[in-house]
Order: sequence, then structure tokens, then C-alpha cells
Amino acid sequence: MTLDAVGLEVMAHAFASIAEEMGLVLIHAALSPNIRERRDCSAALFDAEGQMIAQAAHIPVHLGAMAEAVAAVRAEGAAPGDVFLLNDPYTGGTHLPDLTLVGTIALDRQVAGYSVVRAHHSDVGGMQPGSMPAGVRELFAEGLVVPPVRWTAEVERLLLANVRTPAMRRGDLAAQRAAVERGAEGLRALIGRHGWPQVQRAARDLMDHAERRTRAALQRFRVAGMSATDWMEGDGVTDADVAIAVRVDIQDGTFHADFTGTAPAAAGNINCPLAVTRSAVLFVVRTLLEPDVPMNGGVQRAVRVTAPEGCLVNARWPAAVAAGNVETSQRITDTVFLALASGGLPVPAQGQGTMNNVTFGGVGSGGWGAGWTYYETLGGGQGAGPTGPGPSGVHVGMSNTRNTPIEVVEMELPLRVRRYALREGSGGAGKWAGGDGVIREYEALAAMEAALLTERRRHAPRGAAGGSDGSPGRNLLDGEPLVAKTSRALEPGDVLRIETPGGGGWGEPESKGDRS
Amino acid sequence: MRLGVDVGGTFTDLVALHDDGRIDVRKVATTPEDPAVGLFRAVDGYRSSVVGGPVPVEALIHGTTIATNALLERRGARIALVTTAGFEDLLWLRRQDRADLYDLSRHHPPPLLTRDHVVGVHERMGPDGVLVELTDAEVKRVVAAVQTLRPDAVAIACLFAFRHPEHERRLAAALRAALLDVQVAASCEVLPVFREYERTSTTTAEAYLRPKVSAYVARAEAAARQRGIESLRIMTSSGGTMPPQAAAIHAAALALSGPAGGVVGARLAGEAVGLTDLLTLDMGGTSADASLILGGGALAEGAGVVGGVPLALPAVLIETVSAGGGSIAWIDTGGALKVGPRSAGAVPGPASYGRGGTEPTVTDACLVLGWLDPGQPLADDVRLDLEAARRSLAALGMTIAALGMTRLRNERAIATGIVAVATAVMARALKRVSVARGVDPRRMALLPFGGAGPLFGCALAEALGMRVVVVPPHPGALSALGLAAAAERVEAVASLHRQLEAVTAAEIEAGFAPLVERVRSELPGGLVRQQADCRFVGQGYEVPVAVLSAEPAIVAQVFRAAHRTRFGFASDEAPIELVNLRVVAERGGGTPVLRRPAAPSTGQRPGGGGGRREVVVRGETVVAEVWPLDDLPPGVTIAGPAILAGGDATALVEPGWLATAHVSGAVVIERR
Repeated sequence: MTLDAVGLEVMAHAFASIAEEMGLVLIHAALSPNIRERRDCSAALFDAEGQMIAQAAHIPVHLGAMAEAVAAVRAEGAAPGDVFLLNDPYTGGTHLPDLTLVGTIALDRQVAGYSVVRAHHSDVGGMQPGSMPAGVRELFAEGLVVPPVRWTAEVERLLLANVRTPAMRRGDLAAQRAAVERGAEGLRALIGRHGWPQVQRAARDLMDHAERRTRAALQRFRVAGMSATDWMEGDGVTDADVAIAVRVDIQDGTFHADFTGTAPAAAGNINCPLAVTRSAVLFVVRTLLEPDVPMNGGVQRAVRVTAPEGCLVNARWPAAVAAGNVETSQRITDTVFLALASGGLPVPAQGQGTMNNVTFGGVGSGGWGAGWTYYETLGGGQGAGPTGPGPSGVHVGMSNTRNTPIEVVEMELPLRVRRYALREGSGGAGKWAGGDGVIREYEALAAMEAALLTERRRHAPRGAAGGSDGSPGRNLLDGEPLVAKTSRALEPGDVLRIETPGGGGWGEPESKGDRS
Repeated sequence: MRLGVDVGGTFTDLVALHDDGRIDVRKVATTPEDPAVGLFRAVDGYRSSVVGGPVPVEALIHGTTIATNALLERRGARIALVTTAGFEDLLWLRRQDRADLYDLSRHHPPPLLTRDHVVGVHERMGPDGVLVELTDAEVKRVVAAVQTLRPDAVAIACLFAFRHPEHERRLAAALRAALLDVQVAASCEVLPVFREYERTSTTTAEAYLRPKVSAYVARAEAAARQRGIESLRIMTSSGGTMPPQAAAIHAAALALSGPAGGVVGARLAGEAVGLTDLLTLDMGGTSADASLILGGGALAEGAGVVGGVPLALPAVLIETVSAGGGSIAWIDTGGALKVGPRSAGAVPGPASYGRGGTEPTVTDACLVLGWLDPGQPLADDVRLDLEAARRSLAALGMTIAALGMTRLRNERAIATGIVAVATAVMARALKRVSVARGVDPRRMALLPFGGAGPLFGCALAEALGMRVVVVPPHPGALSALGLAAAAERVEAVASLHRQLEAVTAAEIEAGFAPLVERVRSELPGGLVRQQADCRFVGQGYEVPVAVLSAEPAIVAQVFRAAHRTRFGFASDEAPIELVNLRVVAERGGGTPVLRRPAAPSTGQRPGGGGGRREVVVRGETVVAEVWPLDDLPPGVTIAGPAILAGGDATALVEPGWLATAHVSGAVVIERR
């Protein structure tokens, strides 16, 4: 150990500040609402060995998932000053809309580190606008696949020729590029102030520090053989359950999640590359840590994730993956939490476990232009925990994006929101009740398509420690129930009602004890 | 003469700004039960002390925390909310993001009323007008329902009332007629702009605060009148001031009254030395607030959150971090030294206050490093106990050693570490406020204030690559100075949600006309400015641009330029939309240029300061000259290391920096 207590903290702020600055540059320079407002993006700084020094993650789904991207670029023999682009889920990516730029930071013709910026682009080609089609069987239908390649004018031309909104993509990528540059400048400035050996050592010490704190937190739990199984409700191709099984061992300060027993990769696009699975597990571990543990590669050293090759959560090329990132990742965290609960860890009951993806789209009728699409996700109930009730009407797990105001929806789209309310009583009962889900009722004012990509419509979020399950969600078209994942044509006057799941309750209700 | 009075947690500061630019400063203890008592104690004390009898007071400007504290402590009125049926849960649904990414049991702070105090109304406006008629019978039912709740105040917020206020107006009229002693705030009056959650939340806050705020300002106004002071004005969150009658019905606009004064004062001090692009840092007892002044204007933006309640009214930009003088230093389980977020506050205070605090704070570290003088009592007669500070640091040193970390040699090394960490925390906040607005800090000057801020000026500037630090006159009372100098300001806003290419200049002018009329009648003789909130279609937030010509093509041009400055790009093809029109009127902003009295009161010491003492700067022990901050002869230059000790603040000039006393009373410190 070389840094003292002060150096650790000062350098932690210095590195975190660089990542934070990269993220701010990206958000403020990007064009598309998905990056600017929903903040579906993150930025990170890596050392020369490809270990993460600091990350500004705006949503948990990117947590610690960029090391694979750096590894893939290193495998291509990146030279100092090179910038690579990639989105291939099987070489460093997650799902195709996540375009990742990896900049190699040059210092005296050597590699000093990597500056990495990932952002979810609202179109990367493929069969459907938005590049998040449901029920697709092939990766190739989801969009343009980009293996790690040097980001040149030619590559940009090729990419822009394959997407529906090239001007917006060019703007977003320019913002990403600016953020990558800012990260490189920041690291070089830090090296200018402290010297290269000191900065290198500081990065190493900080990762050791984060690892120490992670292991210290995990030492409090020594439980082996905690296991759980949960299900995805169909893959968009069929409606059949798809099992996710996990066994968690926490021993000697290491958290090991093994997904043996999980179903093979699905025909539809709910598969995950291992990087996504690792983020989901890391999210769970992060909730067990003190909030000020710096997020860097040291945390990951205390976390091991294994899964059989070719299974749902460690899919192989060319399995389709678009929905794996948004829905399967949620179920992975749910399953891991369930396993921890079975081992008596003080974790909350399951939350809504879905992002309730709702997409509307239509063609030019009623003065709304040549064609339009609108996408939103809905909050629901969080599970109750040992210390109190679950929050209501919030995003849980791997997402945390904000809603769109009703007044914006109605001013800009042929939709009317008839009701927006908490779904009272949908949280599971218990000593502490689970959070309530949400009711959102839309009326179509023109002919349109509605696509639903939802979960937890038949398997309820489970309660913990004797608490009751939350209510599963419901999708209703003019009062008739719909399945979890479907597309429907709507006529003017049709009413689509989404009821999102409530969170599970925690602990036996106290009134029971009173009666005995 | 104008008086500014800032009521803080511990002290009530008064600054008298004379017509010739001279400043007088007074401090009295804050009276928390009724802040107006302390306010007038300061005013009376000062006026009776002025040689030659009381001078006429042109204006008394007051910065108050009454609204802030009511929100933080949830001690406002008992209110009811009247809203469109089917949407009664809006305040509980918020924007659906959770309170903390990783703490899954964390709840958002609750709204200002309970759910059973929401009354749903059968009515509905859409973007184009009425969808569900509001019947007279329904109005009657709603009034009766509200009456049974017996509220002190009522908020009304219906969907699309920012564009179609007719239903809200009828409800407001009926409620006002039926509930005579009850304040009624309607969203179409409080904040007529789109985004229903923020509008409802702001309107609720207005109703919640109005009874308390209106009673307070009425009391203050009566007390001012008694003393022959006709012009009492109240500072708002946006850095302008309002007469008491206006403040009484804009209670939510006072939520950040306190910090706004500081930013206005910083602007004034910067202007006095010819600097208009400033990063400011107000370091207080429990936290430090970073803000930004660009082109001589403080940035006022909406969408602040106070006490967990979103307020979409204009407010000066503030980024708060927990690094104040009272912030406690500790060691985490991984062996890193942390500062904050826990604070010793004023009671028990830092260990060196001798009021029972034993944990080491930033103030204790500054004392051990020799930056503060134990011989000089603080404003509230506290004498700093150096031994107590040493003991607290030594105890922390034992903890560090027990963790097996590299041993910090002694108390001075630990103190050096604490200030280094506090500096890192504040530097990060300053970077956030600037980078988030597309500003490079290296091109700016740093203006640190508050009692401890100027101790950290050089270190922060160095961390951010800045070359100039401005220590304002009386850094500990800068908020009160800002109040004394602040202009009167009224603002009117209306929604005009249209694409620029589809709107004519005549329509834009017609939109502005009623707003201009309103601000002219509220503030006769004020300087009127027109602004439009614009954005590229599809964006989720707006950039305010000055409208000198209502010609849409010119508005578009100005918007693109503003967008490029702020975000570094602006598409020439992307369509632009108007969102809101704003009109601001300001009066009385022409403040005197700050000027120190010609003859310094404590005599000139041309050869040096008031002695020398050993101080530790970045681990090195050096001998610093000590100068009186409040009495520096204009033009004198002082090479670091030096300590500038003032009545309410101390500045540290680090080695390698050169301080020059300015005629305004500010000190400009530049890197050599």
C-alpha cells in the first residue's frame, strides 16, 4: 500500500471528476432525447491494463459493463490515440443500440489508459424503427452489427447509411467523441500535475481500496448455496416460461453467482451476453455496499459471475439480444435477490421486475406528420425491505428513467391519457407493504400500432420473510386482457390500460401475531 | 443609503451601502422564534450607531429563510389540493424515478399534504380546450368538499390550465368567495407553464407557504414603517427583490432567498474589479454552495428542489456539497479519509469551539495549520481552543494507525489531509456547475466567500487551473451586501407552445403584450426585457433567449447562438419551438461602485502586515505575513504566503500567489 488515507480520497475525487465531466459533456452535447433527457448513457475511465478506474453511470444497466469493450479493443491491438467504435454484443457490446466509443489515451506514444463512452442510440437500423423489435429471432434483424473497428470517416459513412436518423446519429456520435476527448484530456492533465507513476499507482491503490471495502461488506455475510429460480414470461416468439436459475455463494468476501440450470438461449430476443448478466449481478452487490464505495474495477474483483455457454444469460452469436438488456436484466437481479433472501440476507422483496415498455406508432393521419413513434416505460412497486415499506410508482432495478408529462404526450401525439394513478393495494401485504404499481390509461385518437414488451403479468413479484406477493401487472385493450408481449392495431377510441405490478411485501403482518 | 439584512442560521448580517460606495457591516444573533426581531435589532443598532444621527434609508432589503425552513421542517399550512379527477395521485407519482439508485428502501420526501386532502374535480381540458365541461353543480360539490377539510390554504392545479385557465379560474373564484380567510393559489396564476407535475408541486408549495410568509412580511413591513422606512423589499430565489405585498402572494419564490443574495453580492464584487465571468463558492458552517456568473449575470434556472419539493420557479443556480467549516472528518472502512456529509453545525460545533464537540472538523484543521488565529475571537465571541483541535486530530490519527494505513506523521499532517480532501470535494462541485453549462473554468475567476471560503481560494483555483481569485469585501457578509445592491424585479410568464416556423411576429408580439402590461403596472418605470424559452423540437428542456425583435427568423438566430455557446453546437436545419414567453422588469439596479473610505481606519502599515506567524501550506511550514483584510490600503501588493485576517473571514494567500488590494475593498489574488 502506497497512498495514504488522504491521497486515496483526493485521487478518488480527481478520477471521479473526470468521469463525471465526460458524462456531462455527453449529455449536454448530445442531440437525441434518449441521451439528453433519459440519460441512457455512461462514461468511464480505464487504466492501461483495461481495469476501470472510475465510472459515471446514469442508469444501472451500464454498471461495470464496459470492461468487455476495452478488452475487445485491446485484443484488436489498439495503438495510442486510436478511437474504436463497437456495438457487437459478442465482442464487447450489450445490445445493438448501445454504441460504444473507446478512446486510447496517448502519453508519449504509449497507452496511458482508455476513455470509454456508451450511449443508447434510438436507431441503429434493422427491421423496425427504434431497433428494439419484439419477437425477432436473429441478431441481424435488430440492426447493424459493428465489431470493434477504428472510428474513421469511412466507418461513419457506412454506419449512417444503415440508420433511419443519420443526422441525429452523427450529432450523438460527435458528442460521444467530444466526451472521449474530454476524458483523455482530463487524465493527461492529472498526469501533468502528479506524474505518470503516481497516477498509475493511485489508480491501482484506489481499486485495491474499493476491493477492500467490497470484501469487507461481503464478509458480513457468509452464506453458501443460496439458490433461486424465476421465469421470463415468453420470449416474444412463444408465450412459454423461460427459466433463470442462480446459485449464490458468498464466501471469504467474494460474491459468486452461477447460472447453471438456466434455460438455453431463447429463440426470441430476450438473450443476454455475459456482460449484461454481470452488470445485473453487480447492481445487486452494489446495493449491499456503503454508498461512498467508489465504483471501479476493484468492486468487480470481489464478484464472480459464471453461466453455461449458450444459455439465456450467456448467449452465443448470433442469438438476438435487444430485449435482454431491458427485461431479462431485470429478472436476473430479481432472481439473485430472491436467492439472497432465501439465505436470510437483509434484502428487499422483489419489485415490479419490468420496465413496462410501451411503444405507439402510426403513419401520417390527422396532421401528425409522415410517421411517428413514441416510446415510454412505466414505474411500478418496489419490494418492501426489512427496514420499511417499498416505494410506490418508481422504476426498480436496472432502469431509472423519468416519465413523459401527460401535457407533453397530448400536445405532441394523437393520444389522450385518461387516467394516471397509483394502483392502490397492488403492493403485497406484510409487516411492511410492497410499493404500489401504477395505472396509465391511453385513448387512441387516430389509427395506430401499439407494441407492449412487459413482464410480471402472470408471475407475481414475490414477497419475502413471510410477506405476500405483489399483484402481477395487467395489460387491457378495451377491457380485454392482452399477453405480456404483443403488438396490436388500435382504432380511434380504443383504450389501452396498463396496470404495472406491485412490489412484494416483507415479513408477516403484525396483526397476525397480535391475535395469537 | 440602502440596507441589506440577511438572516442566517446563527447570525443576522446587516450591510449598509452608502451612495458613495462605502460599506458598513454589523452582525447580531439570529432570533429563530421570530427572525424579524433580529432583523430590526440589526437595523436599530446600526442606525443608532451612525455618527450624526439616523440617515434616511432609501430601501431595506431582506433575505429570509422563512420559506426555506418551512419547507425543510415541513412547518407550513394545512392545505388541500383541487385537481382534475383521475390524476389525484400526481404528487405521489412524481416523475417515476426513484430516490436513490442503490438504496432500494429510500423514499422521496412526502408531498406537503396527505392524500385525503386531495379533491378530484370532474373537468378536463386538453391541448385544444374543453374535453369535459365543469358544471356549476360540480363547482358547488368541490367547494363543499374543500370546506369539510378545513384547510388554511388551497392549491388548485388542473391539467392544461397553463393554456386553458377557465376552469381553474372558476374554481378559484368560488373557493375565494366561500372560504373567506383561506388563501387560494391557482396554478394558472402561480406558474402558467406546461409539465403538470412540476406545476402542481409548485402551486402546492405556494399554498403551503403563503399564510406563514404573508403574515411574516406584513409584520416586517409594519415594523419598518414604524421606523420611517417606507421601502421594505424581499429577496427572491432568482436574485431580484419584491415589495411585501408581492412577496405575500409569491411565497414559493422566496424558497432560495438566502443563497440568491450571496450570488448577487458576488456579481457586484466581481463587477467592482472588472470581472464578469465568475465561479463563486460560498463556504458556510455545514456546506459549500457553488454557483456561476456569466457575462455579469447570475444564472437563474427553474426546476430546483427545496426540502424534496420541486419548485419550477426561476432560481439562481446552486450546487451544494457537504464541505463546510463544521464538516466532520472521518476514516472509512477501506482506510480513506472523508470529510462530511456529517457536520458538527453550530452546536456542538467544531472541537475547538469548546462546546462539547470532540470530532475533528475542517475548522479544527485550519486552526492547527495556523490559518486561523486562536487569539482572535469569532463573531459570536467564541475563542478557538487550539489544544482541543489538536486532540480531535490526534484521535483521528489513532484510528488511521489502527487501520494499518500509512501513518500520517502528526496532527499537522492530518490537518493538511483534511483541507486537501475538502478542497477536492469543492473543486468537483465547481467543475460540475461550469462543465454542465459548457464553460471552461480556466477562463473564469474564482470568487470564494463565506467565513472560510477565502482560505481555500488559491488551492481551489490551482486544482481547477484558474489564475485569478477575488476575495470580496467583507466575505462573511457578502449575502447582505448583495441584498443591499439588488434590483427590484417582477416577472411574468405565459405559455406559447408553437414551432417557430409556424408562428408570426404579430402572434409573438400579441403573446408578449399582456405580460408587458402586467409588469409595467406592477413595477412602473422598470426596465422591461422580453425573453423566450426555446428548444429544438424533441428536446426536453429550454434555453431562454432575449427577444429584441419578435421576427421568428431572428429569434431562431439568437437561439442558435445561445445554444452553441452553452452546449457547443446548434443544428441549422433542426426545427425550433417556442415554449414560454417571459417578461422581466427591473428597477433600481444602478448601484454605486464599491469604494473603501479614503483613510483606512487602523492606519497604514506600508512596510508589512500586522506581524508574522507560522502556517502550514500543503505540508510545508512557512512564515506568513499577517494583514488586516478589512483595512488594506488600496493598491498594496502582498506576496504569498500571507494571511489576510478580517472581522468575519480570513483569506490565505498561498506561496506563488500575489494579492493586490483594490479600491473597492476586494482583494485580487493572481498566480505569479
